[in-house]
Amino acid sequence: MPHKLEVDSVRYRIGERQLLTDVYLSCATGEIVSLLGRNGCGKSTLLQIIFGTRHTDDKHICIDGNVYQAPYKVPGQLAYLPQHNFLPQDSKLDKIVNLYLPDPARRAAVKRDERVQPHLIKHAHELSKGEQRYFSLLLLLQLDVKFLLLDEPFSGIEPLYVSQIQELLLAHLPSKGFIITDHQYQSVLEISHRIILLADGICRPITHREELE
Amino acid sequence: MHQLKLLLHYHKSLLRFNLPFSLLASLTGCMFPQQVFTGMINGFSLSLLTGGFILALYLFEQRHSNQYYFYYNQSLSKIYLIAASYGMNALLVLLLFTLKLYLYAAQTGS
Repeated sequence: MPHKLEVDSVRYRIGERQLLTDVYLSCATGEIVSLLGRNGCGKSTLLQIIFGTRHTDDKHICIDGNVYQAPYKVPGQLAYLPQHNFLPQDSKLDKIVNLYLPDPARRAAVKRDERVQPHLIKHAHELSKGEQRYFSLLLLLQLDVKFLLLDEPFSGIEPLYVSQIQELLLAHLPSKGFIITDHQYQSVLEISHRIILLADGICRPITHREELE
Repeated sequence: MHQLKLLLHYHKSLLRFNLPFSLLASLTGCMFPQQVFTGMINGFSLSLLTGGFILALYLFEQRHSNQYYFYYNQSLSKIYLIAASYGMNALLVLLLFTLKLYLYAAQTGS
């Protein structure tokens, strides 16, 4: 069954600066929405507000018609890949997979990945940034959630992993919707269905890629 | 069961900071030569629930604050994690106090 995420009337102020001004954004199952914008324009802040870990009084987050104040607290709704690594650094990957995914089939799906398999006995801190990023994404993709918010999934990733990650996202499209921000525009644009530009606190749909130049 | 495992994982991360500090605090029990063991239990328990716990939260926030997203993605909020971890410490203190009562009874009994 397709799901719909709608984010409306998001306003957020940092000190004297109005970072987000009446933002509207939507995403549906099977859709990759890329959220682009300059450094410091509020992309990560917006994703955290949608996820529910950053507070603002002015927001309306609606999934399948139900309004949520902090969607992350309700199982099965959203998952968020933050910019910085969130894995427990002193745990082995094998243990992390077992701890994170109760379903044996989903565990197996992660463990049999050819890029993860050789590292299962390693601690998270022993992996390169790109390997950690890939593993984190693989874990989140196996979560039973409707939407995934990805904050710079291609950051620090070697070119070989980029196409692998793109393939992974496309493979999970039938069951999930994605909102992605990244500075590597090309990697995101290649797989996006819709492009949204966040500038001056508002979201503007981009219909022609030339508008980004 | 799955959430309990995640809670224990978080609790263990906090104990890594809390335990050494609380063990150090338990040495204050040595100041009472008459009741060294029960004094140590008192010092350890008090630290586990107060100073040691606060220090552990502070150090975890300083060093691993991003790791909270590991738990957020499993629908566990920070307040819930902290409250549950404190509850586990309280349970441990309860067990230690039961041991203390038993030791006290054995002492007075003899």
